[in-house]
Amino acid sequence: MDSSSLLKLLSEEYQERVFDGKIITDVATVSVNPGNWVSICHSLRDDKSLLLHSISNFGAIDFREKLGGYQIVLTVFSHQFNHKITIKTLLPAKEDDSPIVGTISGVWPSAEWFEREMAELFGIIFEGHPDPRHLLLDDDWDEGYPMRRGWSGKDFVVKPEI
Amino acid sequence: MGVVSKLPVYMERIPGGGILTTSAEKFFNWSRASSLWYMLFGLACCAIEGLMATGASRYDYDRLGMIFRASPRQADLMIVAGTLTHKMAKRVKILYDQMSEPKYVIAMGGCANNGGPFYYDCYSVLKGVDKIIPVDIYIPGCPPRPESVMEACLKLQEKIKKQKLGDWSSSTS
Amino acid sequence: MAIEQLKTEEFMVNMGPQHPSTHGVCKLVIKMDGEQIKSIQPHVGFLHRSIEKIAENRTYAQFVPYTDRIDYCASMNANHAYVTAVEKMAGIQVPERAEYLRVMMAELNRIASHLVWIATFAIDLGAVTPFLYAFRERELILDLFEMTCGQRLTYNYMCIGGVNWDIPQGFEPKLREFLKIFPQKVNEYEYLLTNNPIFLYRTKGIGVLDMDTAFAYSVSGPSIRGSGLKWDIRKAEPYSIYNKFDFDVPVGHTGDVWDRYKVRLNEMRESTKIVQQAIEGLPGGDTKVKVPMTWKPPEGEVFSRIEAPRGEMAYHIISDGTPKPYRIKIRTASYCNLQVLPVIAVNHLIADLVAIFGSLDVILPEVDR
Repeated sequence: MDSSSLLKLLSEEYQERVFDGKIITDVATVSVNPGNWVSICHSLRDDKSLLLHSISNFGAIDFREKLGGYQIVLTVFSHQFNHKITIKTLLPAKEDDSPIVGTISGVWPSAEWFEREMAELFGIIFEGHPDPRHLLLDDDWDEGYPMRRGWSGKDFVVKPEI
Repeated sequence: MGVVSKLPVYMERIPGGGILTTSAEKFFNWSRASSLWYMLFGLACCAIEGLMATGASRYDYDRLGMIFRASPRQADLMIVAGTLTHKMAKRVKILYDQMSEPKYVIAMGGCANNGGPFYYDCYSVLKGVDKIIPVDIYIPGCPPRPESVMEACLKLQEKIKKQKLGDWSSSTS
Repeated sequence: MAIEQLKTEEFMVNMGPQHPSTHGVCKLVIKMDGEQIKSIQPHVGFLHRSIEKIAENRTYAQFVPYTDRIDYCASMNANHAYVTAVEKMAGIQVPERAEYLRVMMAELNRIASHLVWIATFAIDLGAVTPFLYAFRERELILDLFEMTCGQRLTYNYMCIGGVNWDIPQGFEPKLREFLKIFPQKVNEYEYLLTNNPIFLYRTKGIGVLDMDTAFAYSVSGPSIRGSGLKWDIRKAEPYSIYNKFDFDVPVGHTGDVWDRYKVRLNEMRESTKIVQQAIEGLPGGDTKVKVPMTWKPPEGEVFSRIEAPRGEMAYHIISDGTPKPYRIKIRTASYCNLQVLPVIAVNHLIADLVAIFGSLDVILPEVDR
């Protein structure tokens, strides 16, 4: 399915839960509320007309200054139909807040590591995560969440402007 | 190293013992320099160049009497090939401690020397392997060519050949 | 005495971080019952170099060398993934000659990467000879790269808007010579391994990855093609100029270690075909369009993916209109492929774990970034 018909299908089928549908560089993109995050992922995976069974990318962006929170972006795709969609949600957070969202590792098992990574680097709490340990950082890391913008640590040197 | 390190002390007491010490020294240094067994331990990009490509068909470490050992207990030389992160640093220190004396370290590539391309804006990389273990030879490059790795090994052999018998006594006591 | 009474308690084995067959630094905590694996817990992050953090303080052009170091066995492909993403975002049209050169280099690098894989995989299974054979041919490819860009491993060859250097004089005959001898060399590796009884015993029926597991864990690249799915981003979403070339996507049948091995071997043959077509059809003209040093892309975002030797490599770039990216999220193939290891290695012997781990072709800096 091409992106525009995919977008049309999404905004008709799930109109009560998704909003702000648009096409960003030929990927159909929709936004959802954090409360609907897990449920929409469940419905999308189980939708027989979409067959979105693999994760292509799953990451977080620190948009605290611009949008007032962290945005998590999930791109899922289908091998059979050769299409992909991006789902976004904005988790509101101020200064040092750790926003909370439900885990989707029960929907797509490969989300588990992506979520662990976001949890340690951005400080987003994934509620109900089966294994909330550190993934990339050391177990005794205690310098906060390094991927947040404006973070600084004791061994962290910012590249000087030339 | 017990006996070897005490050898010069006993030898010096015998008239003409100095000659024996020098010969023993030469013998030990020669055998150490020509059978540098390196630990099969790669961290990042440099491992492909420094351990695999240099060990493979075209460059061939065997010419220098170097063969890889998978265990640190059997190795004399640790080639720190790649970026050393804070998480890995603890493990590298343990590996270094497990190696038996005399042991040598080659810091290969920019990352192992001082952090290299990962010096700025990086929260997880240790800026230089010499912050945790002593280094004998530094090789610049990102990654260094196999030729420069071999040059470093030759330099290390030269260094070993200049060692004195008593050199290790302080570190082992 | 009943067998149940002979049962001893389960115990833990630590494999890594320094272990010759983990291809980098990865720790596997394995729960064992005798020789049998009951569960595996991978610990990664020993090579986490915070490349995504670095990206936030580099200009778009300055970040290209870092992409080399994400996947050092296939730097050209990693370059390709990044530059195509940036160009897609900014709408830059690349000269045709540059596209041809990119595809040529990327495919040569795919061969080199698979050669490293065959070498290490054979060593893992106890066969040292293929290592020496594979590195012999890999050196020929590295010579070609060195002629072009002066580096043997981290090339920094592609730039935003094209490629940094045109191929030098003397490159073409050398490449043609390589293309002539290489198919025979692949047969040579096959002769060494494919029907070797010990190799078959170690690989046939081991580590079977079924399709549903592969989907659920987002496995990509040769690992999923080994399970029989004809999925290749070069065919499915042709990027660059891959739609101009005639090549086949090799697939396996059962999804065991042997199938994944066979897929990679055949991929080398297919890549040779692509390089052959690229050098035959190489057009003249410019190799890059001029992009200024402090170039600012428009505000926006892009998601773009390519087929790297290990599978899908994707970049999600967010631009805020300044010369530096706001955020770059890199999706790498090994990150997802490694997650499937605990699922498919359970109930195998510990000796088979090495074969299964090797067959997934995980490269740790790609996992850790």
